[in-house]
Amino acid sequence: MTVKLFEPLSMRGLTIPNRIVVEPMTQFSADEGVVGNWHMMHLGQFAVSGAGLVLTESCYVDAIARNNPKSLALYTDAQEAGLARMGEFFHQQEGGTVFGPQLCHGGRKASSRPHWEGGGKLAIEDGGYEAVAPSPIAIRDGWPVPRELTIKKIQEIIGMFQNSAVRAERANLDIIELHFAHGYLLHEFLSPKTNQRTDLYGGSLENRLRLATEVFEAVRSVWPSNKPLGVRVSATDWVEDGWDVEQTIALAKRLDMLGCDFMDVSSGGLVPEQKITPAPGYQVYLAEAIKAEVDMKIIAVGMITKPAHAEEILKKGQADMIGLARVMLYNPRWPWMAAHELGAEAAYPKQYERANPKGWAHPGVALPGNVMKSN
Amino acid sequence: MTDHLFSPISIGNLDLPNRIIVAPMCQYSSIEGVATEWHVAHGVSMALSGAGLFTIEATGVNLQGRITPQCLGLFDDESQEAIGRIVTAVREYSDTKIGLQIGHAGRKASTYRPWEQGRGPIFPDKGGWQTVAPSALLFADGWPLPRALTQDEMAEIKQDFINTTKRAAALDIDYIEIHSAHGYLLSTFLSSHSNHRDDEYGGDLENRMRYPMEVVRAVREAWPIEKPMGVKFNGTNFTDDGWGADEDVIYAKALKDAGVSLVTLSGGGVDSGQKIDVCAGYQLEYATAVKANSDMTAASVGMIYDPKQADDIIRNGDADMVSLARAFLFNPRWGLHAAQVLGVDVPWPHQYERGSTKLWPPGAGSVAGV
Repeated sequence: MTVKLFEPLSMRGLTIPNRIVVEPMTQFSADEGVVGNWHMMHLGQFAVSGAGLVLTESCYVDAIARNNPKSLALYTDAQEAGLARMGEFFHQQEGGTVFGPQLCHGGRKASSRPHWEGGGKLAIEDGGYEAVAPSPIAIRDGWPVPRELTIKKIQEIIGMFQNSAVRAERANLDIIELHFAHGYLLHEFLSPKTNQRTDLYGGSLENRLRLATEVFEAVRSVWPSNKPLGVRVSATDWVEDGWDVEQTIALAKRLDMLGCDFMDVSSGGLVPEQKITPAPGYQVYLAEAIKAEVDMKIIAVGMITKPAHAEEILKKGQADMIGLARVMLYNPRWPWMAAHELGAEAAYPKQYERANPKGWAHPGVALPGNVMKSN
Repeated sequence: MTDHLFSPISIGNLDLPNRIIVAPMCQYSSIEGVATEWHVAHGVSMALSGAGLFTIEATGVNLQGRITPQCLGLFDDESQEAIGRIVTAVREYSDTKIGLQIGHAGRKASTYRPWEQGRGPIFPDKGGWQTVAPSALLFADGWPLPRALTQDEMAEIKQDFINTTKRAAALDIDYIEIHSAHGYLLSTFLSSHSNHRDDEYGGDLENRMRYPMEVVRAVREAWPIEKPMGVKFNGTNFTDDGWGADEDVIYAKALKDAGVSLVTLSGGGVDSGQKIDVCAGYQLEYATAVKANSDMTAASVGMIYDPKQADDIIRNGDADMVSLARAFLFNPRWGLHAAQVLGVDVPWPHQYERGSTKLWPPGAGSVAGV
């Protein structure tokens, strides 16, 4: 019996060797937004662990778009060169793991502090910057009111996404994901909670979808036609009268027509009053609902930690790929463990081949680090 | 109180937070002995594993001393600068102490990588080089015959060890380890099967130990006195050459007298006729013998992969430290996971705190974060 999790998947000219996606995870470790030693290690470890697709953490399209001054970014030559170096590292590995940036504008969540410094707003006097948003609504008490974007500024932001995509192509990266989720700028435009504009970018669903679709089209127009482009969405705000799965399906159908290759289905992150009860696979039903309505590939993500659970989601047809985040921080070799457990083959770099338990583990021994096993 | 896997230990003046060592592991990813970006990615990931000491792979003291053409070296400014990049990257993100294993591959130099031709020899006409050994004895049928070293050549190699040591000191590496195991040059002096010399460097045990001890003393002299030095050697060669626990103790005592603070007891690789029955902790008894019969701090290596097993080794007093290799490749968070399994609280790197099970799963608080 074939193991779905380790079946390849093609999008446009790209073959992804299996269904495991390493999702963007903020690291707050890039000086001037440039890939340095941390990212060589951090992303490098995922390049050699048998995953199918690795996305960078949110990679910002402009200085004031950054979540934090130490976020990864892609609007300068040095940032482009750093990502090119990272991409080359991926391409040097024989496992075929594909790699690309998640492009993002932080909107009103820009200029934040790392969670290990307590999170919250990074004040201007501490090196922060004024944030922008569709409407001047603070995230919560104690956060500054963001500056409302003018139509002219909105057009500039579309251009920034485009410029970053051009840089991603010059850096020879494989794939792009646009970040429309988690309360960052594009999500803020989608949700009526944060978008109270009265011009053509706010109000009706049609108007709230406008910026997302314009950014998508603009990037698609400069990104090579043989390379996939997808989006990450929050499929619900987890509040009344917010963005929800029906509206997400409307967006997905629109993007389907525009040639969107995949949708990475997350949720929440927009407003502090969200009511979320995280549990294993708690967002999978959202992925499934969207998948039923569109042609593009769907990534399910959120508290999926066990290989058998991942396999079951694919077998049931709830999603096409499985997104992993924290479990890859916990154990960057999760794909190897999953292959071992499910009886499939995962790619080992030659340097690490001797770690394959096939070659050394005795029957019945506990593998070194199997806390997330399925049983 | 009984020592356990996460009890601190001092190796000479070097304080380590726990008993876990990332063993040196060949990466076969250097170019002319010069480390690449692979080593940065690999090294930092190993240094964030929760181990107290990360040992950089077997590093040739000269080009001829490398195991494969892709093995790491430390013999000129360029190779020094490249190892410096690994050190800088590790220091930037980790407090884990950094060791460097230096060696000369002897008659097992000039080989293919494991995935090429079954790690067999590269003959000189295929891009390999002439190998050297204490005696002109084949490692195995089909291998090239090494040239027996003259005493002048031995002095030159000793000088290469000294030069490499000085370069390591310049990089402010914390710990240096001499590779005296696995059938590489120094171990072939020790075994009666590979050393048939009739000068003062061959014959009885004292003579066979003479050259390795000269190298150790020379390195000790070149290495800053406040920094600890170690030796990895074979507890057994898994053959009938007469080398066993008694010899381990004799060698360990001599090393202690020469200023060595830590030995790691491995085994095999000297004699192609070796018979090894590999099982969990199969080399442990040799570290235990050294620990019980000398003042030397002894680490064990070889099929140690389970946290409980490793903890028991320390608790039972069978070794002072454990050195793990493949377990760290298979699970680069092994030390952090071991702490979790054993109920010990250790810090995770900030960037990975969200992946530690203290916070998750199940997720505490918001997942996407506002």
